[in-house]
Amino acid sequence: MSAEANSREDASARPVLLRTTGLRKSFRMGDSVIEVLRHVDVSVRAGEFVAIEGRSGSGKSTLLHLLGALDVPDAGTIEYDGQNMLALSPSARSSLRNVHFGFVFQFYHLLPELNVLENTLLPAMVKHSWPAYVRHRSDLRRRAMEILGELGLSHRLKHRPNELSGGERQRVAIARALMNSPRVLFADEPTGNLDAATGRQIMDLLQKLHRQRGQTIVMVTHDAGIAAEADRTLLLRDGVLRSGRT
Amino acid sequence: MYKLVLILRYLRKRRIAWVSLAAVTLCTTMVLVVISVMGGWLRMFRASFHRLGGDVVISSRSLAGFSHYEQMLQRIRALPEVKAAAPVIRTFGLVNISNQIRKGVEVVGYPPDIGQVNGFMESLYRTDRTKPLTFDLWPDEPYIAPPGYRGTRDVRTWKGMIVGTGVIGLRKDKSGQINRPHYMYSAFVDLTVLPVAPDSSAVNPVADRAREFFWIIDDSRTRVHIYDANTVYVAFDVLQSLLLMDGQDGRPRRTSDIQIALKPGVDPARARDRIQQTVDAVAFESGMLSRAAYEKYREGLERARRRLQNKDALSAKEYESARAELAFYEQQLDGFFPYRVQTWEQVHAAFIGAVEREKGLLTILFGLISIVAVFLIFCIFYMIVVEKTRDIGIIKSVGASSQGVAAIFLGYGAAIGIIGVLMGLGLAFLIVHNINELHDWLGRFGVVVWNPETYLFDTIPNELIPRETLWIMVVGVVASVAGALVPAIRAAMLHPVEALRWE
Repeated sequence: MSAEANSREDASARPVLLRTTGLRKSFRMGDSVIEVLRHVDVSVRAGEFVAIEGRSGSGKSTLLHLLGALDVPDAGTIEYDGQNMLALSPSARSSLRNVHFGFVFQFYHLLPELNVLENTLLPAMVKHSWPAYVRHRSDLRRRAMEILGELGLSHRLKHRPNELSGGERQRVAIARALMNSPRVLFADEPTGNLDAATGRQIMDLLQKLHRQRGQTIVMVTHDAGIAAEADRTLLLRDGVLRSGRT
Repeated sequence: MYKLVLILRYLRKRRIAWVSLAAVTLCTTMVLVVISVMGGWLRMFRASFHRLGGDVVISSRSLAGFSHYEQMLQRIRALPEVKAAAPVIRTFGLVNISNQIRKGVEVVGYPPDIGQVNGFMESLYRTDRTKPLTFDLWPDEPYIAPPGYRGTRDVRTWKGMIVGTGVIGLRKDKSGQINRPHYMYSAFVDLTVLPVAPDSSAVNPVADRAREFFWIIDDSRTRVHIYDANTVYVAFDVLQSLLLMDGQDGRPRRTSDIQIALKPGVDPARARDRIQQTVDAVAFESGMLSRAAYEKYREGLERARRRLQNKDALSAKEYESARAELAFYEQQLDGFFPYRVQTWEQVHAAFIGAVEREKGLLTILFGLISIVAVFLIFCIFYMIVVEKTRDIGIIKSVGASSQGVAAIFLGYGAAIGIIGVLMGLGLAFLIVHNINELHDWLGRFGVVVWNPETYLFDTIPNELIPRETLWIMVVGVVASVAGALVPAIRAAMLHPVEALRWE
């Protein structure tokens, strides 16, 4: 039996890292209220690669933001590692995003004033106070350079985002997301802004992270082909989550 | 750490913020230059007034002066706080200078030891400042009787007079130098004064006038316009004699002022009280004033005050009567002593107070103008926050708290403030220390803001006082942070998801 098969078999035995129950979220647009999520129950186990597939405007990014503590639902609960995430203070939620979660966005979202290395180091800068950062500066830089090296960006350390290609920018975003060794990596349409070949490279990278490091990944995409690369796919239709391929 | 990195990076990369930096720099410079010049001006006035009047002054309430000043001087000089004391006579007179200048002046009589009491000697040009002031004529001057002089006295027996530079029209040229024509030392002065009897009875300006001829022996430039333009100085005994204050009328000798120099470190206000007690004692002991009358007035005053305390027990008529009584005794006591004992600051309180208020007013006005800088920072920072909305979402998505985001923009404002005030300080230092050169340079193009002829100061005062400078710098930084406050709060309150979706 292959390591991959073993890994899939073991997945059901792993603890649930993220769980939502009865999640509801709506947005007001003018006089009307659009209900984006309707009673969504989802759970993600440690080490899983879950894809949430849905059409544009189906609410998949909203679900990702709720899972990643970037937003709060109108109703329902979200648990992370058995803890009610919604009961946390704003600063504890910020800390959760910094230490436990990593985000990769469709439009990369790199800071234009910082170079590749500095963008990668950003979560570490947020995590550490000034004196602590100065104390651990060389270790942190070494780690950032290791990650960037693994992602094939060693030659781009001093470049600014506007000097990089789309694929390189997305790899920098992945490097930044991995900087603080998060338990969950959230990817919002990571290939949505890339050509097919570059998108393929990014997906290979996510697969590699999942297989080699056991990285838990929650990815949202509108592309069924991309979603198929995950261990499990959930379909979001009209704000309701349906089980897809497992 | 991210806050510091982003502040420094925004400082370098967001060039629009340099406009705020320039505004803070210019406003700091403006306020510092204004406060430096106005403060310097005030200090020069204070120093000049202090230099010219001694530390404590006993001054007569009327032109008649007060008697028994010699006993007073003796007692005052014996006080441990006192370094020196000298009598001074001040009066008004008319001068005719070589039949060319005829004007009303203040005439001051100084004794030889005046140099120990005030800084008058330092204002002289030709006189030996280290020797007692004798008003002697210069041996090398010809002193020829003026044309038309019909007197019989040898003109070499005339007394010497020192005139304020402004009295004879000595003015600085464009280079700030005073050119004294040599013939000024052969100019005569015909001085007329009006003696006033001790009881200040009516005088007859024609019959009672006293007249004397003098030679100009020197000029005095105290650097205070009101003195230099209107004052002439003669020997104390000469003026005393002219004013019939020297006892020739059978009455005790009189003076109009006593100037007192205190020992270093002595508080003038405390010394003033001691001197007041001393001179009052002499006034009573010598019979100059009646202690019984004084006590009577004081008792009357206390009685009236006590009556008014029980206001409710008084009828309307009794109340009015008590008030009239109080006013009467207050008036009697106020004018009871023919002299006032004041510190030099009290003597010049009105003028110094006016300049101080002017300085405060200008500082407030320029401070208000500087509020423009705060609004500029607000607008620019608000613009930056709007422009950086998505970046704020990114920073929040990697775990930055709302307080952390606010701190970035407040720190950014503080950095603009700190750099701005430091640059402002540098610029103000350059301007203030070269203000006279700058003024001269502007003068080449016909721009003359500071006319030395008007102010009778050599140079525009220029000194940055560390304490005032520090205050202005602190206010500059606080104002910059205040300008960034609302944009920082807006940035902090941005929802991360909405910020990430911002286009």
